[in-house]
Amino acid sequence: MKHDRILLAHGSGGLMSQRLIDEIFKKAFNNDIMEPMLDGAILDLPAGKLAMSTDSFVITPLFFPGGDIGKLSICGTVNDLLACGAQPLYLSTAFIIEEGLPISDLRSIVASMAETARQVGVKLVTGDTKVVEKGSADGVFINTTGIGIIPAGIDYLPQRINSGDKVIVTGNIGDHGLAILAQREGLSFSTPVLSDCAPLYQLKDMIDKYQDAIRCMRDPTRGGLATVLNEIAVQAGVGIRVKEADIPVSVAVQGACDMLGMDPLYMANEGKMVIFVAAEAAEDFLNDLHKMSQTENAALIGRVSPEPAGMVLVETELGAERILGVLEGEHIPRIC
Amino acid sequence: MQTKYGSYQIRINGIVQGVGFRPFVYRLASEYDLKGWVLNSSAGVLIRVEGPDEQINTFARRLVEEPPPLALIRSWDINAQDWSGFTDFKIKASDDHEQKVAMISPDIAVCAECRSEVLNREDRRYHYPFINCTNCGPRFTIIKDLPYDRSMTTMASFPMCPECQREYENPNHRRFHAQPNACPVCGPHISLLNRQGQEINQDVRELFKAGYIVAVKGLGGFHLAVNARDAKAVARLRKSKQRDAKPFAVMVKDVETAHKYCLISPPEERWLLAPQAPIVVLKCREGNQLNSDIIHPGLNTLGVMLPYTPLHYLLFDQDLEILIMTSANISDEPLIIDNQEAIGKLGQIADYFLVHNRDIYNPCDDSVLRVTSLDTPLFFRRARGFVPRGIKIDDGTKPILAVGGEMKNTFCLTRNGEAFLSQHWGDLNHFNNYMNFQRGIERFKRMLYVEPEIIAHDLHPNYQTSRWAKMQPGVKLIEVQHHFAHLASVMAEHNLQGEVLGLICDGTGWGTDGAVWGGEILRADYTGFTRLAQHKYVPFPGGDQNAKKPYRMALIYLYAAFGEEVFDLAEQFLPQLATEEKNIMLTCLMNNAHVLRTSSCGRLFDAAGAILGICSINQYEGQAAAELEAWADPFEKGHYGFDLYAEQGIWQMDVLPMWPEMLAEIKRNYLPGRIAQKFHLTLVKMWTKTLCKLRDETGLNRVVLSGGVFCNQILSNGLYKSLTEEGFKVYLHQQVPPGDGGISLGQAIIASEVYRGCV
Ligand SMILES: [Fe+3]
Ligand SMILES: [Mg+2]
Ligand SMILES: [Zn+2]
Ligand SMILES: [Zn+2]
Repeated sequence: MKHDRILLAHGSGGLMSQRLIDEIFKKAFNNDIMEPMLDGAILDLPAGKLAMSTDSFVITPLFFPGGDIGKLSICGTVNDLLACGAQPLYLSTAFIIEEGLPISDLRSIVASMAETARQVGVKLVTGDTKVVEKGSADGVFINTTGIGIIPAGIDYLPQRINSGDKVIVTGNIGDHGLAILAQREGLSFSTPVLSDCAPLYQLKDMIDKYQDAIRCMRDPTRGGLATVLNEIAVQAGVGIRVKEADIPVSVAVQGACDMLGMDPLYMANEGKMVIFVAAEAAEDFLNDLHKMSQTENAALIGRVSPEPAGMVLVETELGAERILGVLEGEHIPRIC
Repeated sequence: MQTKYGSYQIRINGIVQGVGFRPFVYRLASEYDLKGWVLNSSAGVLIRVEGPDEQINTFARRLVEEPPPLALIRSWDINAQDWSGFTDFKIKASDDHEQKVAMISPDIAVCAECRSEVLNREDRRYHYPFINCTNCGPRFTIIKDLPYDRSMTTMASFPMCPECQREYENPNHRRFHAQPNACPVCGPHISLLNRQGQEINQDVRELFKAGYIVAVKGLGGFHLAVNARDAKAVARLRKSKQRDAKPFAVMVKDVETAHKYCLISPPEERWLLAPQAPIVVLKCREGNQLNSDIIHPGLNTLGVMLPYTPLHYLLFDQDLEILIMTSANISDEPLIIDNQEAIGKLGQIADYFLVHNRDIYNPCDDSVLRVTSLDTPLFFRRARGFVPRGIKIDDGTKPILAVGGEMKNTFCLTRNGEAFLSQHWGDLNHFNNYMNFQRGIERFKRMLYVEPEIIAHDLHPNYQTSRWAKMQPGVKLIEVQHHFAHLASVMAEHNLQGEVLGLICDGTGWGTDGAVWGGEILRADYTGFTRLAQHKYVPFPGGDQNAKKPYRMALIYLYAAFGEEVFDLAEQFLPQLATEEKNIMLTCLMNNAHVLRTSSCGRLFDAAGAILGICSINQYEGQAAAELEAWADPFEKGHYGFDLYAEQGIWQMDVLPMWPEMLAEIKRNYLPGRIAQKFHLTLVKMWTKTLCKLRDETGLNRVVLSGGVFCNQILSNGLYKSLTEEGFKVYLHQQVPPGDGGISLGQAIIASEVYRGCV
């Protein structure tokens, strides 16, 4: 390509657009469904219920320790589909690119998307690109929409959660939120923290094996573990009690959060799943999670009880029970 | 002249139940040979009298002028009735049908007469730990519902023996209608249990003397008790309670013993001996042989109370005169009130359990107060002995529920010109405290027979109280800024009308501009406020971490005062600050990104405490400030520099000029006590100067002081003096705490004014 930065003309619909699509997107996402370049993708779907999820990715910085916006845009939607119990199959993607974005950046973002999609076995089948004037966007915004098929018999609704069920989280929490914050504010910790950004495709096997024992799954992204648990507690009309000591947080993240006065329970994750499992299956389930690379730090963190309905409590190491509420806005100091 | 006869009904409201009011009426009626009856209704005391008008007049006057010691008459009226022709004077059975406007009495310390009985070998209640009479004993903590009758209390399961019944029915007896009346034959009894819950036969005093920790069930909850003279035992209690620095209170055998350990002024002694029997915070005598490092580390004051239940008298003897008595709970959880729960939860801490089988219905912690230089009480905690006594206010007509703050929470319910503050519930972010808070609201509503449709809450969106308020169906909500509520709470106590200036200094309150407030001067009346001055903001990276780690606040102020030089200074003055934490904080400070700002005065104390090396970690709320006060040398009269300038229409009270002076003195090895005192005096000076300026601008001459910072005596006494000398009229708290335990009163009065006249 002649230019090394995105120009407004790349979005004109003319020849330059065509070249951008051919040389960057088509090359990277290359597959038989996208290939004919029709007005839309035409898909053969296996039997089952269709799950569909969409997410737009707006993140500063575009590249961060442990990932980039491209990888994130695949993980986000794929993990949401997995949380529904679906087998992710196809993705669409739309780019809003700010004039002046280095083409090399776009290239690596797209490459990272393609690579992540390949790992999962999901196809990017249709897409769109727009270029906006400098200042109208922040580098690049990416939307992905995904569809997947939910095998018969799976219906992971919060209403399936019963008193006695166990709460499992598939690994250390808070990594993504902290990595982004550190990068953005130029904070360097003695132990660097990487984003956990990952597509949890290994969970597909778990869904096959534990179809029924799994009650419900949720992707603890924005708002973190605390927010997700609260959503579920309200939707399922149950109380959730977690043990502070059992929640997996890496030493680096805990240390960094202490220094910043932040709580890892409220920090975003991009490669974790919160899973509610029937009590009798919990132990086996956890053992199986430990055998897989993506979930080797999984931990059983709590249990479901009828009361207090709609609330999440944290049992501290001193034997007290704190209320883990939903934050309105940022963490506002409350200690007087 | 012919005698004129009349028939009247007298209605008396206030605390008139369970305080010996009806026998008093009976005796008075007999004295004047009047006929009729007296009735304890849930609408207060109702009296019908017939007789010569002249006698009835005197009778009525003495009724309201000479009520029994525990009674509190709020209002009364008298109306003429048709002649009924009564032939005697009766005390009629309680009626529970009328609207419930009666009030419950707080719990009252054992009275002198009961005390002499319990210590008298000849008395049938010798050493009986549940002795009480109409003038003393448990009330609020055992009452389940109104009207106040034995059947409505946790004494319901103890039917009186014939002898107790006779006392109970005899209008001339001190125990006439004393609902908790009991004796060894019919009443509750104590048992001493080991950790397994098995009853053992031993004198509890011998256990104390052997250094054991005993959980003692009291009036409103359990205490953990240990011989205060036994340093090893106290240290063991401190360690096992994981309460590393928070001062323990003590109970002493008698007031003479209190004088042995503390310096006590006459008003302080009056409070020690008062029927409410609060913990009084007293100055320690030098060399008082108590191991202060483990009882009240870093402080020169000690919380002291006298025995207030008959059971407490049995804990002392010739050789046992002072016990640590600390509320039995684990890490900010609620006070324990149940026997089984005590054994389950305190089993790792207490060696023995002194329990009894009278249930505690309403948990209620000891009240804590200090006496100011004006001889007025200043509450740290208003609970046992005071709750649920109402505070007189000038309110609108509608009942209001104000849900208070987040830590040291109390709520407040208003009804007909009175505000009823609850006991303290602790930190509501603890689930069990939050449950008690909700249960408490239900009980107060039932007790007062009100269903408020207006709820006032704090502006802070993440306080549990704000969340709870927003979940209540069908009510009107009103959001009240934290410091405005503090301000209004003092105004309400003194029934101030019109506009005042309010200096409100505390740790944290959410401001209207998205900053953390805590050092503000507001101009306000009950309906609104403007902020005229503030402590100049400093950036506040780390939020609540900073409240726990004063060294972080020190770094923030050093950076504000010295900029880049901070790297060297931090090494010199804040050795406890780890390099990585320092670098991270400084990066946040320099980038100034996503950082809150604060004017908190509490955090300013933290900074000074850490720089002086007095306190770098707060193990309890306000520790740095309390220790700074303890260190301060009263003979030092100097102060440091400060700046005062307007910025966007708000006066900025800026202490940055103080730091270079203070650091220079530390380097010159000035005594920390003198520096601590100068720090206090700087604030007094700065506030006085600012208030003088604001008076010039506004013409307002009345100043109210509130916020937890005014628990500090150097500040509140000093400021009172300096403002009074400047001609200000100054108002301090006397009935509710200046800290967050008092803000529910302010919220309530604001809501009631805002909604005055609506509906
Ligand atoms: Fe406050
Ligand atoms: Mg999503
Ligand atoms: Zn008595
Ligand atoms: Zn008896």
